[in-house]
Amino acid sequence: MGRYAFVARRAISLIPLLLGILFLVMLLLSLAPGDPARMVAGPRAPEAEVARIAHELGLDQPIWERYAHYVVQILQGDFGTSFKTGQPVADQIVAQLPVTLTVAIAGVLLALLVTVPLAVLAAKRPDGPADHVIRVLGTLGIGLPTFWVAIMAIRLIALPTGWFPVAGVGDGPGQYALAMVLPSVVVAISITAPMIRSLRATMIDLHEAEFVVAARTLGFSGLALLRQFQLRNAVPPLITVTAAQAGYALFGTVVVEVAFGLPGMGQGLVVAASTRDFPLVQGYAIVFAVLVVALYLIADVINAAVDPRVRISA
Amino acid sequence: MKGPKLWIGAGVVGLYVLAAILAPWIAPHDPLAQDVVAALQGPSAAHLLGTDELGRDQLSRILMAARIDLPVAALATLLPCLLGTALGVICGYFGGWFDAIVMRISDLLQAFPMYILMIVLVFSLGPGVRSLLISFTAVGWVVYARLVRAEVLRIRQTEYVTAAITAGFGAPRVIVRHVLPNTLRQTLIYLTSDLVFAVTALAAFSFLGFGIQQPTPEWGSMIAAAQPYITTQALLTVVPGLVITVLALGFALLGDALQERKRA
Repeated sequence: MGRYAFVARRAISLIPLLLGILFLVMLLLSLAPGDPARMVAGPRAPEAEVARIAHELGLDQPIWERYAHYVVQILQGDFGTSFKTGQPVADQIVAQLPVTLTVAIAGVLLALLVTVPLAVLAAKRPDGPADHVIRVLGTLGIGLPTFWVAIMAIRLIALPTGWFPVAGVGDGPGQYALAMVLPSVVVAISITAPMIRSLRATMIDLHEAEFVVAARTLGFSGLALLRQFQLRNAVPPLITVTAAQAGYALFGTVVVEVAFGLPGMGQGLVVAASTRDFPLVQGYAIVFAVLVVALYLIADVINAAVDPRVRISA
Repeated sequence: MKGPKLWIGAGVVGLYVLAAILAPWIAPHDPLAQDVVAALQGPSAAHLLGTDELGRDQLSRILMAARIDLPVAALATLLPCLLGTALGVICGYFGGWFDAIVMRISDLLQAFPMYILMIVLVFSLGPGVRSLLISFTAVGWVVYARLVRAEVLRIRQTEYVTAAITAGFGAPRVIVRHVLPNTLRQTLIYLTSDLVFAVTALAAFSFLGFGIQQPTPEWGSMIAAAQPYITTQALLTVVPGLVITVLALGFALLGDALQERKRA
């Protein structure tokens, strides 16, 4: 199968998953107490007004009809309008998407940057001093509550140095970039430990792999052996664990955005939930879910690019 | 390396459990008693960790919060574990259409960003312990079910299970006496590491305002309430965070120790 055909086939296979996610979000939100139409109309509006709004929102239709209607709407890029502001949900999410994506992507890249050298170092001498230090750091990384690390970063780094904006993104691209630094680092801290653990295990296994032993017999050693034989083969499992951790990073950004006061989707979701803005919550949930599904697709594509066996066997 | 991990982990967790049990007797003040005049004070003899924005004694609140955080975190792993184990055993042992349906649902749930799903659920059900437990369970059972199902599929092939079936024992007896006990070890290892997640996630949800609500003392919501005073009274944020971290590390060490013991 060609590279493009593989990507297309994977993408198509994700469509039922997306439909399932849409349905699940609608189903869960329909469990919520309180009548959304009443919330729009206000507590003192007459019953007829509430009924009219319910009809307008399609709330008087059975859930599967609303579902079909909603799917069609979303395909047209229409996520409805916010109860509170009356603005289109899609506009608000699109405006907030860059912050969330920047923090999440920078966080994942930073995590990868730290993972590869540390895991290679730890795997070089399992149970050696470096391995122990790295493992202790890893355990610490798992135990630290992300939101607290974010607040500590503000208190211990941002406030004393004054280098980074502590609430919002500041003015201009320079300030914007600076505002992304600490949040990305905090997200990276929250996801790195399992990545190091996984790559370390892979590298140790690869030490004894037949083709590595063969390469060593042929005189390969040091960086050449590492680059040409070990790291190449360590990529697919690393991609898998990175994709899983990138999904986790998206939640990390929710917490981190709230702590840093960044105007991203995470903070938007939390505000929307606390003001009980149904269409907004629904929109956020769907966009977050789509991001995660896109992540799987990207991971598959990278795996297929690195490892031809994936394409052939698929 | 094995010994200390187990003992440190168990020691830390034991200390927290003890603090939670004894909290009403060892807490120096009423954790809900407000004294606005004495708000946001630093540590003193009367208030060892100072007072919060409403003048409540911080040490008493941290101690009493253990009575919320510990049991809720424990239930937030036990409930998914029970549901997942039950479903995993049924799926693995009997297979068939039920297995197919449960596995498709778990595929769907695994594809979904777990936290977003939990936020949506808590949003729908309203904040509080009950909604938190429901959403932890609704999302968390998947891993347990898959873990147990895989174990059951393996154990079902073993000679002692074949022997038990041949001897004429019914499915319930084979499952309870021969299959289930052999899955427990794997489940327990995962459960311990899941506790690390539950402790930090519970605090994170409360920090975001979806979890335990004020005035009930809870570590995450205490940090959220203290964040505005980070420059004036940093201790109010620092100490609850350390308390969460140490407990999470305790569970992490326990989990590591169990994992290593299994390998050895």
